[in-house]
Amino acid sequence: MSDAELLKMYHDRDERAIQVTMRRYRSYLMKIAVQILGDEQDAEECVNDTYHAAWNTVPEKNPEVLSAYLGKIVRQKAIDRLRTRQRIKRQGTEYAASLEELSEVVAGGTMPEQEAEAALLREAIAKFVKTLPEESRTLFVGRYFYFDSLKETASYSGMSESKAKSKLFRIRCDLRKYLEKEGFFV
Amino acid sequence: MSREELLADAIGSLDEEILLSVNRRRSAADSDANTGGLVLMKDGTEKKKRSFRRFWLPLSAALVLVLGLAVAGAATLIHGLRVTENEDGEKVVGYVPANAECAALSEISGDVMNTIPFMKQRLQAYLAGEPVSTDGMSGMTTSDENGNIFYVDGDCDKIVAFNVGFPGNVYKEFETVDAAEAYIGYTGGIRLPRLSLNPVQIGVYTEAMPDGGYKSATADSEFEMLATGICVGYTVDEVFRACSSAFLQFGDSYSYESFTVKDSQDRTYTTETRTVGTKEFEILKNDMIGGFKEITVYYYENKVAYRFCAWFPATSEANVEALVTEWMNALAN
Repeated sequence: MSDAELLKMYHDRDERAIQVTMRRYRSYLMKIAVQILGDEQDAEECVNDTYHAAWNTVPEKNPEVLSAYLGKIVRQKAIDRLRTRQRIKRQGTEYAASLEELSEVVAGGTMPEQEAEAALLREAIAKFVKTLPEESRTLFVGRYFYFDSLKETASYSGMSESKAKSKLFRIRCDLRKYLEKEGFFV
Repeated sequence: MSREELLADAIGSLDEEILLSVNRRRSAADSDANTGGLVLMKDGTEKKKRSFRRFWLPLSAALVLVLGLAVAGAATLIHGLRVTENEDGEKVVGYVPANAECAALSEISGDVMNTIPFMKQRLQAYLAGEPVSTDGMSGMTTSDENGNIFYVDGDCDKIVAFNVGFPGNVYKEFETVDAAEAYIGYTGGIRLPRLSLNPVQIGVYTEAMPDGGYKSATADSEFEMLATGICVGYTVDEVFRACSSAFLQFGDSYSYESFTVKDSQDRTYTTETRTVGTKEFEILKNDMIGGFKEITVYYYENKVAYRFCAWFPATSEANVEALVTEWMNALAN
């Protein structure tokens, strides 16, 4: 079955779509989640949540590439979970208490300016990544989207680990300059 | 949100076409091309079996590793199954069996006790910087000296560096539930139900800890057994997974199951006590968005904590309910 057929099953609200997705993408999603969380059980929950999220959002979002769409969902869920975990860890410290007090100042979620900045940043990153040559793009996305290890990223990018490391360093420098030019993080 | 978090989020929204092109290269490099694969995981006849374990082994481990409440305040704890909400709006699920007790090591007569010297040997090898045996670790995650996390595959016969939590975790597979029960040899008896469905996997999970914990462990440290138990995995309707387990705890204090559920808004929990014959079973049901459901059944008897859990779509509910009934009937008789 092709991904297009699988997506059609989602659109038709055929629950077997979830089964097929699990068979096809479970280990791919687990790998992303484990690399973010470092914990198999939490990762498993994120992956399960990803199936649910896909089931609920596919008709509306209409993704073109299912694997990438699922990867984005699981990545965000795992990051959110990691942040919650870190927040819980901080509980009971003076830092946490002061943050709690400051949160009253910005009650009601993210500020519009922050949301606008985040949207602009997303756009800027997308533009930057498109300007990268294929080899650099693979390195950047592999390391910072999929969180693959340096060794692994170097391996599928067809270069030595040390070369990958120095290339990534240069990409980060370029990104920094680019973002500064665009008015971010100055 | 910090700048690096903003940046990470922005990278997370990259175009799917870009991600696809990179993922193709990742996949081509992996042995498991279509799914992205896992480091150290090679194609083989047991692939399905191994991936199955990854679902239910953590569930079994959860009984002993993710437990929140120690027995110290047992007298003040309300027994039974409860779902409460914490101040962050997250649901907290807790199961506290009445009169729960730890088993004594003298009540264990099986070969499971041999895992203790094996764990010690593994710790000594690790401390000496020698290769460490991966026996009983297949399907678990670990990390290398660079902090890269990977799965331990059956084809990997040794690792050099690893998360120090692993010397004290051993998992062993069996062909039958009888053999698994004999391996533990609990004199009080484990009565894990034999269901009509064929098990996909049967294993005994054992956890121990060196004296004083891992941070202060030395080559002379003795391991103290914390828990052991049997997990039997099933597939319902070909793909959805169910797990039946029985666990014993050791030591001075019994740990109760307690976990916090994230994304609470997506999950509706209900609890129920069902009586079969003279036995009471606590049931936790979770209706998730998208028509998916989860059920966990708890039962405690004679120092053994039994649990049945399954995750399935609404269309498989009748089949899962039948399994739950069969499971409870077996324990009630």
